[in-house]
Amino acid sequence: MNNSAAEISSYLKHGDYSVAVRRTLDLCLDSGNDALIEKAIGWSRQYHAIENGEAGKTLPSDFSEEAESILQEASATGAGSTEQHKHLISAENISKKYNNGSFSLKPINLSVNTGDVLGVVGENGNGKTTLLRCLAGQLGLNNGVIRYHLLENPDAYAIKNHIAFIPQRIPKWYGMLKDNLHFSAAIAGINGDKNNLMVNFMLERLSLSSYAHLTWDQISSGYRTRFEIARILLQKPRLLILDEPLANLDINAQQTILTDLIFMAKGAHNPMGIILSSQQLHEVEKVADSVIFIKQGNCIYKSSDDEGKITSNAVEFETKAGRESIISLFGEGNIELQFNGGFYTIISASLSSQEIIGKMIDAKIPITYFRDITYSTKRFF
Amino acid sequence: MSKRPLVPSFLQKIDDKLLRNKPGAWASRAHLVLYFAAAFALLLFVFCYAAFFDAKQYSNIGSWNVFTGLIAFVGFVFWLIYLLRFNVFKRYGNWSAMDGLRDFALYFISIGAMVAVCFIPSAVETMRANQQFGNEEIVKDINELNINACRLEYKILPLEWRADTTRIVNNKYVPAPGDEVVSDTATVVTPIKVAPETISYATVIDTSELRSKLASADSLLKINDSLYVFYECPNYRFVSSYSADDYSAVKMFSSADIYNNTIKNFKKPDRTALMKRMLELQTKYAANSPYYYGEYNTIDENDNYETRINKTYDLTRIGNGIDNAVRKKQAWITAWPIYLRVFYYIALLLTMLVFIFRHSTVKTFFLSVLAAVLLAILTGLLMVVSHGDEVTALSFMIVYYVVFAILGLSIFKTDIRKAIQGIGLNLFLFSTPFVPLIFVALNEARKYNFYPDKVYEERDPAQTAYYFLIAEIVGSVILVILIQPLFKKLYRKWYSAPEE
Repeated sequence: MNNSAAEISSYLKHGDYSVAVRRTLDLCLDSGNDALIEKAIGWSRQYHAIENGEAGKTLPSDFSEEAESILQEASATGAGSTEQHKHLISAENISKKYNNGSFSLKPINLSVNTGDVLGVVGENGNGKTTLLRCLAGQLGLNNGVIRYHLLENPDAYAIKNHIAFIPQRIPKWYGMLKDNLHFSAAIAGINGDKNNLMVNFMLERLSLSSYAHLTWDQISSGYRTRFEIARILLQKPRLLILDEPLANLDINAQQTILTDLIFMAKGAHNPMGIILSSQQLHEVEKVADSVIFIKQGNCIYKSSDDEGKITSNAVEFETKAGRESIISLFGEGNIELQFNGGFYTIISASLSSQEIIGKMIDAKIPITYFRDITYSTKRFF
Repeated sequence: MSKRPLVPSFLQKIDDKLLRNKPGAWASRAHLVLYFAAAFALLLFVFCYAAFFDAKQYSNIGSWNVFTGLIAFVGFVFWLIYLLRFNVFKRYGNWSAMDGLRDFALYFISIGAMVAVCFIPSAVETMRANQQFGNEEIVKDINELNINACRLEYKILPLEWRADTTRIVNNKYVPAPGDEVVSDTATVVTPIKVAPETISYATVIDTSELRSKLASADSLLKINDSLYVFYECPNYRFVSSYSADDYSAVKMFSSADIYNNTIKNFKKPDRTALMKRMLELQTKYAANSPYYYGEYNTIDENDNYETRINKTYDLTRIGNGIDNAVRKKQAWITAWPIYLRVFYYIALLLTMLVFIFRHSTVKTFFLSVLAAVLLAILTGLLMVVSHGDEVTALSFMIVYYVVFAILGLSIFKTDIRKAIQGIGLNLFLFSTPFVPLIFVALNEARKYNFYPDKVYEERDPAQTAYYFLIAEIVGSVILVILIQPLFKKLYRKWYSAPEE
């Protein structure tokens, strides 16, 4: 049994069924064995039936044994290994100015490989969506060049076929949700029984099976995002660009979707790069391999380039204690203290995060929230 | 797979198969359109078959056409709403190499099916009329009606012919006996009585009129090359129908025929048998009058013989019934080229509009419609101001087409999606099938303009119609040939290009 299978076994052993089911499905997909995928879908349905509260349903006694058997089979096929990183896209000094002159995106450089996740953060109206749309081939550039390394002399259609862009406001789907998924798979060249298999797989993988027979108007905005992701993933794009995908999701769904995307991006079935923008800085930073921060059209921070240049530590925390007591604790001049109305932020070149929180605990300052933002783009807000 | 109402399981299976294997064909919904169109057509056929049981009655086909047209329109709108919402082309994927042509064909078939349904009432009406009455049967009955009426009312029939002495002027050409313009019947002078008061002298006609008079004369006497006496038989045809014998081996008797066969050597008839037969024919052909005339058939002492006979044997209603039946029988024989064009052009225009909408953006589509309307208004104004003729208008169209083509083709050279190019492309496609027609029309108009007197006389309508027919076919063939390699490529490049 390989590492992935062993990891999943551990989840099962400790009752983390949700993540175990999702990872098992990924592993089976990577195996490329249709019979095994079918088996895993059936197994997953048992779990989701209970999760959805179907009356009288309990996990069968052989649930874990069946899982182990699936994992054994998947391991035997060599599933779980990932593809080597390949260059997907690189942008050199790309800039964009709208005709009405209201906004301009200053020159930006970036590159993404397969399996990479690039987070784009920044305040509203600062150019995140413009950048993503330029990368997706939706907006023409004023300067600079974008190279799509896996395509030879691509035209605009080939680029858009190669890249999937999920906007913040997803265009409405018409008809039954499942039909749309079948259709998307079919236009991606997945036909016949394989089409059924892949659609069922994606529904199970994103826990959407119970909603497949509904229409767009019958599901919440969070589920719409998930269905759109399912549809896009069926088309096997090499680069997935998501504009504020977390905006409509609850806190659990945010975490689930992000980790799902990461697993899929790094999987062997369709390794892809992901670029996503979000206001959920911490969630994005947690999963992204690199993050860029855009302010007024300028890229003012790129984690891959600028992390080494950071010379001070920063933490943010929430407390009922007053500013005076905090300053008196650390001493005037040793820290820079900012208050944004909700959180305090301490920036210090001499104290580490651990030392800062340690001092506050020792001084019995009540802390209800604390986060080290030394390497977070949060410090630029 | 969604369960659609009124869709049988076999169609549901087809739908499912198409969805998973031929998504482009599935998205056109042609299979559902064809099914519902066929189902509706069958239902309509049954209704029409039952409704059109009596071909002698007045046709209400107009109401049926409106009814079926409305139903087809509602179906079209339903289909259109689906197509416009589920806009397949705008989803990127691995489409087949001939997807543009396939989509165009499927749209044409779908729209064609909906348009074709509208012709069913008319077709069934013709079919039922042909089932009810044979071509020869009607002509024989008309002849029988006229002969019987003459035999029954011999006493009141006028027997004297009208004579018309005619002098020919500009007598460059005088037909000789046996000449093709002189019919056999017209050269034979029948021994007849001529009422003195009907003889007129020295009616002057030219040779052209002479030809037609010779062809239609009941009888004539040629006195010399420039003097003829034409004899006109009294009317003994109380019932006739304009084209009843066009497709019949038996021909309708003329009044002269009736005179020669029945009246000249009159024999007393068996009145009871004839009356019985007249009643049978009345039952067979008399149409219900749509109007109420009160004492319509009451004979007035001032009525002439025709009116009296008409009223006595109800021949007006019989004549109307025969006319109704003949019109219905021949509706498709004479009008099928018109029906075919109506069908074809409605289907073609709608297909092009749907195709354009599905490949363009909503904004560009409506801007294209606006541009076309504005161009039409502008051209109209220019025509009014410049006193332009047909040639000017057609020349404008060619200039517009060239502009549309340049705008459309410029898409190959740009990397940004511009609305003006999209508008040009839309109108380029929409105009293409009509370009050969415009050129033929321009050529005809130029000939007429340059040599008004000479060409007007020499213009052969059949030849002109043939040129237009060829132009229609060539235009459509050009469109079909260009759909995939040119228009689809242009749309693909234009739509996927980044915006400004």
